Amino acid sequence: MSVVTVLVRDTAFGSRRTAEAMRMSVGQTLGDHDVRLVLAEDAVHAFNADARPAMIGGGDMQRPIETLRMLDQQMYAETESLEMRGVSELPAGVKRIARADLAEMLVQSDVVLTW
Amino acid sequence: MAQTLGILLTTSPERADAHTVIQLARAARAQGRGVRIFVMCDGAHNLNTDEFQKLALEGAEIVACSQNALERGVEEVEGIPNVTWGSQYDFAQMTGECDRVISFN
Repeated sequence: MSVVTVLVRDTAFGSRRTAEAMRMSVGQTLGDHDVRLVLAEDAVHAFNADARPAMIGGGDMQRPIETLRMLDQQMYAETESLEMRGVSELPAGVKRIARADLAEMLVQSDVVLTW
Repeated sequence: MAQTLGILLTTSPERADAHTVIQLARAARAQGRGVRIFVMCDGAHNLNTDEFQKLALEGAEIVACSQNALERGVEEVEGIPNVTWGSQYDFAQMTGECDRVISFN
């Protein structure tokens, strides 16, 4: 089993890439990996409760978040990115992670996939 | 046993990523290393390019996310060895089996 960290920075709007990154994160659990999904920079808007990226060319965010939560995988949003963008509420199962702790997580991961 | 480089490619052929992936894959293979490439999202479009098919003929193992390929109308080309239409399961296996995995997004 490997520790796989998926770091997503792309915006969730106007493109399905962020949703695809999340789908890929779910897919990584099929390898029995310890998956850690981290959203940073503009990607954190995907965690805004009022955001509906699927309405403007984005993809479904709720299903992969719910699936990862059910599978007991770890999900994080970078604290600094949240504060800069005024995103204060996070979905259940998503934790905040400070940039310094994220750096440590990346060092400790076997595989890091950036989007 | 030879080390294996895993590559995730999600961008389309007109981006520089594809060129970099092909050159890196050739360099790794020239050093006796294995190369496994997983294409998804717009990266699926690379399947039908001459350079990618040449790379497969040279021995690189290429797996495509069939869901993304079908969404984009990419047709499966028969007769090209080492190219497989797969799924996220295949990429999950790849991340566990390769010595190093890098992503081009």
